[in-house]
Amino acid sequence: MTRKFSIPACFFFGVATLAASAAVAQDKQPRFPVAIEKKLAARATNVDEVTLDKKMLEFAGQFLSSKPKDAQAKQLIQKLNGVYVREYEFDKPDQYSAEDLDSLRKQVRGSEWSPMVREHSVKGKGDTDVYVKLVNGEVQGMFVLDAEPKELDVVYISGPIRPQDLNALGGNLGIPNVKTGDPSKETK
Amino acid sequence: MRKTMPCLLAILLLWSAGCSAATDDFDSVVSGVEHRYSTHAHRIPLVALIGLCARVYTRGGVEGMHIAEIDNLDRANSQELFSLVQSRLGDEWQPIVADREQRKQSGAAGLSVIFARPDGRIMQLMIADYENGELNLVRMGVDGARLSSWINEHEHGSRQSD
Repeated sequence: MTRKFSIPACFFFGVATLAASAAVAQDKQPRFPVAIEKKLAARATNVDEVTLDKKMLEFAGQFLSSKPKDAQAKQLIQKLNGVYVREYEFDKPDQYSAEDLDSLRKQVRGSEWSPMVREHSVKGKGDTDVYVKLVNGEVQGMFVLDAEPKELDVVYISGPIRPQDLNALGGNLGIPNVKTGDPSKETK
Repeated sequence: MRKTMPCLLAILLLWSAGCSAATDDFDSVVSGVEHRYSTHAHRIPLVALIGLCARVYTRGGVEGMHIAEIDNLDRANSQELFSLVQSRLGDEWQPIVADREQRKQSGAAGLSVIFARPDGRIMQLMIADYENGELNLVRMGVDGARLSSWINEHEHGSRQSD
């Protein structure tokens, strides 16, 4: 029985992970708007899930630095109700089909959700879809589906947010940097 | 003196009750895994002292640290382990970050989960990291305001020294 356990490593793993991504789900109001098939998740070599409710966002927000981008993100997350991220990494391309993506899109096509951005790569490099949840004419949520050949990211942000705010939040709280308006992509 | 003693006793009782609550959920997880997989956890010697040092060093940013290592879990299924830890912690604890790794060729799976439970100004955290048949558990309370100000001071200090 070998002892490989390192106390400082474990401690800093915890704190660093928190500082880097942190989050929670205590009040269970905002629910993830789509059900991701277990078969799809099983094909992934790496699955990351971040589940942050308002309380956890407040907590995580304390660890953002005073750099301009972080300060902007801090301001934004104060208004949010929750951030939910599901990230699937595959060891090779074509591990998910167009039908898999369509089944996810179908689940957010409803009276409350409106498609805002749909970017479809001409060279098959990836798709990005952004849907917004409108309640009484105000944006109260955003759903992002970002599909790359070997990665599939699904993000749900609950609360008032604008598409341009995604740039400020990208890289924080497990939210990937979603590039909208990439000239190599064709907007449909 | 007559008034001071009962007050001190009450404070001591309240403090020990708080410590006991923190230990209870950690012990419940450890004993649950030990029982399910017929193995024994390694407790880290002097962990109370390490916890005290962490608390003093971070100026109250981190407190109530508990650490255990459980190995010989080769036949454990990572999903089953996750469910076991979650059920032992109870509904108040929520997984905030989960990272699952599946190695297709070897069939091995790794799992790292951070569970959290808000407790006033403290966020109680339980980190479970499973890989290669070994589960590491770390439990701690984090005072976000104190820890972030401690981190900022250190960042500021290192920037000035550059």
